[in-house]
Amino acid sequence: MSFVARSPRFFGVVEALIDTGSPFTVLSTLDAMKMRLPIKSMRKGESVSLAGFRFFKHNVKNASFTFRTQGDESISFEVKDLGILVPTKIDKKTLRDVEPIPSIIGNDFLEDHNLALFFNPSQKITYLEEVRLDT
Amino acid sequence: MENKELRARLEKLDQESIWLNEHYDELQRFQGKVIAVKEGKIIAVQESLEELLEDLERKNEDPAFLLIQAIPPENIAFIL
Repeated sequence: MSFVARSPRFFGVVEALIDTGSPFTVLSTLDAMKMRLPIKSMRKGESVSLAGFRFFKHNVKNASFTFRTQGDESISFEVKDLGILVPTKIDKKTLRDVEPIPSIIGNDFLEDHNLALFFNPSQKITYLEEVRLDT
Repeated sequence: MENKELRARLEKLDQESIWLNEHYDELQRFQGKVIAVKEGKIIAVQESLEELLEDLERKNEDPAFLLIQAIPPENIAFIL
């Protein structure tokens, strides 16, 4: 799923995986580095384990994701607590090893914005749909 | 950035993402490397992201608005 991510600290395009098993929404180390975030000074936050690597989940406030709709409009959603995946150990080898780990849209984002995931792998169709709640 | 420009960026990104998925098998020749894609072309290939970012800077490209993908090394699959 592709979108534009922005906050007062970064701005750029992101290709993320939707992981319904993840409670968090996070930007990968690769996406953080390509947006020139100073990851070496961001080694703080909750510790998380992903794909066999340990990361700090450095939280960023006031971020938003902008998606393109089927009708070629743009739609933006606030992200209350966006985590940046910062390896606990930063050296050349670790950075190379974590490069393939993608950014993740987790359940928190889907729940916060009443988004449902449609996924049909045999026809390669995936999209998010806003669910209108009747009150 | 204006909404119109933002939508154009998103459309381009969607197209690049589709291109990447359609050509994923061919991209296996870049296993263990990091690539940058722009308008259906690979514009940079390097051993690491740091080297790729330096290469893109030399080419006056803004990495923040490019699709950058690390192709996992052979025989490694990531299960998150």
